[in-house]
Amino acid sequence: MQTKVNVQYFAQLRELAGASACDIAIESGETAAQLYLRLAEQHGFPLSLSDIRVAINDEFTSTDYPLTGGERVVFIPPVAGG
Amino acid sequence: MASVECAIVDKSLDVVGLRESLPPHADCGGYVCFEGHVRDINHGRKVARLEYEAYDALALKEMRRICEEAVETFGVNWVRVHHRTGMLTIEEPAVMVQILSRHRAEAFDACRYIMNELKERVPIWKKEFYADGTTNWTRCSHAHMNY
Repeated sequence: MQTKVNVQYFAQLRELAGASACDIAIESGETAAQLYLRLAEQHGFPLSLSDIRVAINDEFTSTDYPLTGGERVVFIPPVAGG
Repeated sequence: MASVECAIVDKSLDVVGLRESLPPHADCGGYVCFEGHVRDINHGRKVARLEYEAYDALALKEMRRICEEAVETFGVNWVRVHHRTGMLTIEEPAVMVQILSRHRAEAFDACRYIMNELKERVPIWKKEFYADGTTNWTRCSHAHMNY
């Protein structure tokens, strides 16, 4: 079933995607990892999946998380605070 | 009175105001404060300024979790962490950690723990603007955990 999620981008991913947030059509059950790989190809993200953490609805989660639609998804590149 | 305060702020950190606004702490003999300032060189490259960007909602949650871990692990009485976002100039404070505890040892330990974990876990990013006009999103750590 087709549905959609809201993807928010930060840092280099925001610059490469050219947007801070975007609604993306998905197939229900598509994992966060599958979505990242799709977006990485589309936007030329240089980071491999192993460099990325995933947050769903503002909480860290597994990259295997199966999306059902309506989630807020953030792909977190390596952090550099402090 | 163990308590935790965290904030992400887009204006200059008021380090004097933060120092002067400690909670009542008659039972605490140790106060440790750490400030991280913007350095003008990184990996041999001359840095002109920095931009910090945060995923505010999750960054605040994770900062609070780290501070609560520090309270639990080291038994300190009070922790406050303020982190900047936006454009920062050289020598400007980017982060301030303040800790009150009965004795100094646990406050030093908690401060080191909080800064180490913050750099590894909190979704905040840093873009360096170099003197030669180029830029780079720096990569202080591999953010991967056991998820």
